[in-house]
Amino acid sequence: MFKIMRKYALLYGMFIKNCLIAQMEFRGNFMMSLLVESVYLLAKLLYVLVVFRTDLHVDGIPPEGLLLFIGMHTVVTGIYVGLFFTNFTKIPEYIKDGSLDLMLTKPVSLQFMASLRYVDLALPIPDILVGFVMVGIGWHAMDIPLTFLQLMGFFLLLLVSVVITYCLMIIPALLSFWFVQTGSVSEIAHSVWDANNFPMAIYPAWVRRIGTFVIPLFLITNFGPMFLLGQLSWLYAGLALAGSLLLFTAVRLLWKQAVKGYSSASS
Amino acid sequence: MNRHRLYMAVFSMGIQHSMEYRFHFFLGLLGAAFPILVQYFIWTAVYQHSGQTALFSYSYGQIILYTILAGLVSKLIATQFEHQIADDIKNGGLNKYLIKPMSYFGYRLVSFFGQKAIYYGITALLLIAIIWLASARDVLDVQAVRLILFAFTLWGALLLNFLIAYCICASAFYLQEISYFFVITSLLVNILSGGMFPLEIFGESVVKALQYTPFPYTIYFPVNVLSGKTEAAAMYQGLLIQCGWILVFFWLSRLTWRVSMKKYSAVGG
Repeated sequence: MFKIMRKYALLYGMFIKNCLIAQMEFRGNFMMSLLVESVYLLAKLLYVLVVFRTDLHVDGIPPEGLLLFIGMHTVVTGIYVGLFFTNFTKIPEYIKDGSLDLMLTKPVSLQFMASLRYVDLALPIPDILVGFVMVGIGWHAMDIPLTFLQLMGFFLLLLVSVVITYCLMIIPALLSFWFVQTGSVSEIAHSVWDANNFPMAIYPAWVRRIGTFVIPLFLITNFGPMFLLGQLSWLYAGLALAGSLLLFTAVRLLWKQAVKGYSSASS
Repeated sequence: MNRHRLYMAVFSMGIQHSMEYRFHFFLGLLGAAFPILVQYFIWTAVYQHSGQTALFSYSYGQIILYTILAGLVSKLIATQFEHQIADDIKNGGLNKYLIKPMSYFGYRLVSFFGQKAIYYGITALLLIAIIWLASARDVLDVQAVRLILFAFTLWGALLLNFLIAYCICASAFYLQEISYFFVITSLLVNILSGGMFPLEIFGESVVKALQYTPFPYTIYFPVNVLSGKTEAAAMYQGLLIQCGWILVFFWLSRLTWRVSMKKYSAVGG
């Protein structure tokens, strides 16, 4: 088990190195990616502008506290566009042009190869930077003690977010095993994604329930800040972790089921 | 073939092209509904908390109406031909248009209108439903003159947005990798046009400054004509300014394309 994990870690390191080399070859594109993501970030910061100009309090949380939520959302968005986005847009292409065939023959997990092969190092920079600054401002303004336990809880929940992000956002890509054109489904997934920009307290109870238990979208950005604000006990943090692992297992099974139905095209 | 029949054919091609991806269009509408919903909940929270009747000079009903209308209008006027034009320029597809007895500009414009014709109809139906709902809830005071002017400004907005995008496309003659560039410009233009939030959130001075740019006349102005936020006098003035911008950008697009075309080297084809 340990040996396998080491092998995959090593391989993932190789992927990152390879992508860095490829991206450094086209520095102009690298800068353009940075710029594009910065403009998207700018659009997101408009929400921050609205929050501060209207002095919005949600559930008694002042605007500075809301920065924890918006910041967390920005950080996770950065991780998503950096680690997963490129891969998930490529999966339907692999299926369409049959390049999945070649991956099937490689001596590593197909899911690992297809869903984690590419890492974009330019896109996440503005998001992660600005996101952590926002979280920092919120952390400071809400007088949250900076202890080891708090940090650990926060990063544990960040890990949970990343796992859930992977599981939820890969679903549109997985659909392409059955349907050819899934572009509009991922478009919808991306627009639902931004529902996470704010604490889920602004949504009515039934939306919150769906977003927590059916499609655990709200877990991604709500649990971290809620933990910091003392609204979430360790028990729930543990449950979230267990839930995310369960979801990952489900996606793993779904992937296996999907690959079973794969009938190579062309090539 | 005379000119009229030629452009009718291009127009009908545009309609057919848009109907090719019907399902995509309806899913796109669904996709546009989510950001509107999210904003609806955010504004509801904002107004509930502040307890004020008007924020940024909008009442609660008005801001919700603005959000819905702006979402619809920005979807309607959205241009998708930038990549095609850039591709034509880069890979030499422009050649086949240059030797044909019609202008590339005319072809793109008429085909764009053709592509939007069905969307315009569907949007009109949605608008009727929204206007009816809003007036039933006393958010909107429906006036015939505003409805007519709205229809006019909406066509103007469509044309103006086309011209702005067409001018930006001329940069494809000079830049190598252009797809990123269009993402940036279309998002920025959308923000400055009031497609995401009403421009008032930026503060009064920014709203004033933006009045001297063409952007508010694509989304912000038509929406406010309908919602009744624009005063009667300012409405006609705005319509004139919109026409002015259309003329300016018409001239500008001819100029930029005439200058850039000299650089075109017709590679491939």
